[in-house]
Amino acid sequence: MCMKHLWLPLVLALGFEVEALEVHGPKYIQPGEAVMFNVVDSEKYQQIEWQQSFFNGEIYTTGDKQQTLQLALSPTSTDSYIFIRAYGIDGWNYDIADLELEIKQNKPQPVDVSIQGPEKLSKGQSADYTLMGLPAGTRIDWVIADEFGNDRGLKVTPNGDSVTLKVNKRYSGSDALTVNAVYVQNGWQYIQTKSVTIGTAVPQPELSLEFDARYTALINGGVKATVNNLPAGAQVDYAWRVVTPPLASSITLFNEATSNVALLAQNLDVASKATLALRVEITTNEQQAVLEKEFDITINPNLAPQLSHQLVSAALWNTEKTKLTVNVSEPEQEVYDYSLDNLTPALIQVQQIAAGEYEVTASADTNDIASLKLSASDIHGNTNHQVIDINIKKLPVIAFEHASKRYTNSKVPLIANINVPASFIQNVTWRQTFGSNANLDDITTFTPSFMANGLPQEYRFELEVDLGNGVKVTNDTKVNTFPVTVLNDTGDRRLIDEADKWYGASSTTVLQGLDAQHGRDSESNLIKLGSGPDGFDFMFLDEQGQIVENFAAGAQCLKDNVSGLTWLLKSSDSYPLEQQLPLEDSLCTGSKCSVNAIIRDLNARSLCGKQDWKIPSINQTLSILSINQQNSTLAWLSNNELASVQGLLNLRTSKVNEQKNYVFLLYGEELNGTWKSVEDSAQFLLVAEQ
Amino acid sequence: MDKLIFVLGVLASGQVFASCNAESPIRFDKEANHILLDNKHRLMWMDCVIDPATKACLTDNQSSFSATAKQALEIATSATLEGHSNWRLPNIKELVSLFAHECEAENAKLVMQVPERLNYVWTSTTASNGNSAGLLVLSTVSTQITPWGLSRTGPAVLLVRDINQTVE
Repeated sequence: MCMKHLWLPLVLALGFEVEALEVHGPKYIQPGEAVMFNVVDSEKYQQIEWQQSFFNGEIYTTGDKQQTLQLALSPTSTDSYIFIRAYGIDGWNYDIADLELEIKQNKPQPVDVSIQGPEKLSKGQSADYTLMGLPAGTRIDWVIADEFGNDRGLKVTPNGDSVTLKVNKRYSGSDALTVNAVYVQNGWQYIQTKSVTIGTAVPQPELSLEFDARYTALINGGVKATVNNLPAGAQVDYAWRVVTPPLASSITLFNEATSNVALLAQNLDVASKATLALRVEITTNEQQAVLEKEFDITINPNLAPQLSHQLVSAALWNTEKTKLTVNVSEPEQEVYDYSLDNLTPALIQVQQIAAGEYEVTASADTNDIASLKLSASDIHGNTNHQVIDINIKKLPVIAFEHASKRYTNSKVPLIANINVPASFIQNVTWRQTFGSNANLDDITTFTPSFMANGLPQEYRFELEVDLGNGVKVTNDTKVNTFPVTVLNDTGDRRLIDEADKWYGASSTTVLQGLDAQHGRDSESNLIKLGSGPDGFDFMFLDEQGQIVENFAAGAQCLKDNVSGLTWLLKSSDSYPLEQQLPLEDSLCTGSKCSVNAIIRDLNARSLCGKQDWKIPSINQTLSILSINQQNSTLAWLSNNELASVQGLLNLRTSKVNEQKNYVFLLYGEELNGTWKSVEDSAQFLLVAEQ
Repeated sequence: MDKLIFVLGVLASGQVFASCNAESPIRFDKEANHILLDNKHRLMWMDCVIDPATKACLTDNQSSFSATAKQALEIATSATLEGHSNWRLPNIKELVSLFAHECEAENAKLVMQVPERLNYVWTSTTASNGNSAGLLVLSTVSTQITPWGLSRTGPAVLLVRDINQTVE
């Protein structure tokens, strides 16, 4: 007996009986049998308490409210009746049920009944069990517990002759359950039992997705859903939807009711995230499950083909070539169109030499920027452009700084420069194109030189400057050489002795280094074209400039073969040597009264074929003079009429400075040079250079 | 025969003794070591005034370069300068051709390394100095030509020699 029954009389003394308590149980029991009583609607009460008369056996109560009483009668019992009272206590109120159990022998055999239902039940599963074979309306109490009598983790839902049993996932009892159907027939209580094995937990259906976290717009993509642990025979329904489209774009789904959904996103400017969702409904005959999953994908913009290039040289001289290599890559491996446009055809020429390779040639001699435009478009019209600028450089110019006129037999320097830094220059080459062979030294520099030979001529050279990469610039230059002018000697034949006296019979030694000891005058085997005194070499010319015999009557001019000058013969019947005339007409009267008047006349008459008659310069005048009185050049200049000339000659020169005229004073063997007033009359010589 | 050919070359050119202008051939070339080449007349000048004391180029611009005619002749005949021993005094025509320039390009005073105070220069051409023998002297300032006695000092010494021609 339970000790708490001790306070029961107190409860009963203070409480109030409200109504009858309904208890199901048998009316008969035979020795050695155990029976069970259950309080109907026990949930209405806080607690159920039991009292019984004395008998030979045992009782115990079960249930969370002690609503079940189990009574076991000893096989040796000789009791006739057992009286049982049940109290349903609810606060200060209580209900009472009085039960009478008669002990009888020879309990009838139960009718043929059975419990229909699964033999095995997994954790998390539920199943229905039905007692078959009883008359309709028979009350059945279902008692389900594990081998230890515990019902923890079990959910039992009676429903008349059926009961639904669900084993929780977290059930931790024994490996087997006992399903008991307790029923009363003809006053006797019977128990039909079925053993149910507990299996392991059935895995839950699981939803998994196969998708790329990043998709590219305008390219078909897809997501594949897979449901694992599907119950056999389950029907699966898929429903895909877009939860959040990518920013400033949209996604269109195809086949959204299948496990493989296709998606296509509109293009966008920047990568953007989108959220998709899938709802999967799994339906079996026994249950329905819904699996839902949301997931994010990133939509990347569909990019235009990417362009890159390599240009060997970004700066070209005119005519220079370079190689351009163009690379096009399509990020999405889509088909694309590609083109190269020459934006400046006047500056460069482009020729394709292989796929993606071009030869670019500068075709303008100017400083400018040439441009090529690369374009590539994919099938969506996404286009990329790239402009390649090429610096077109005007070819440098070779300039020459050397003198273009030199004398024969002199060293001729050639000086060139080019308006480009030296680092651009690969090679320098001089080539002679005209003239006697000139052996240039330093031929690989801009400053070679050569020795001109004695023949007056024109030398021509071409300078080629190699700027590399096949670019060369050239320029031509020329140098003319002119003959040297050997100075006439002085006719000085005098020597001086060590006593500073003119060398004579009494002299013993002679000073060295005197004029008479050097030059043409002292050469004994001097070769002359014509003839003349000492080192002089003259020829006489007639009025037409034809050579005539020396001192011929028709001679008008004297040609100096050394200096090249032609002199007017100063004969007494035309232009006497001693004649002194003013320079200007204004200083005299009459025809040909001045030197200038005579010059005009000579030029007008082209005397001796010359038309450049003039007063000789200091050097020209001096060149024809000789101080050898015994063999004077004046005799030749006067056509051998020197004998008529007496005294001092004042020979005018063309040199005038500060109203003074430079004149040579010639008197016998003495020569002086000095300045005299231009207004003074003076003798004159006239010369023609041409 | 060589000289005859040279003379023919002169006649063929017709460009003889023309007064100098911008189109004239380059007359003077300077070489290293005080050498001035007169390409026009094929003369080589010492590009300096000779110091009578050293018989070499005057290095001190303040020193005197005055010499007598006999000193000048002695210097000329004995000097070995720049590898040449056949230096001489110029005759009057050679010296006048140097200083009676007809254009600035041939102004020897601008071309040569001579002191600004240079005036009179000895020539080898003889002249009578009264009853005595003398030499002509050229004033490089006035271009005047005058006879000077052999013992008179004042003029400077310039040296010249012929360039050995290669005659074709």
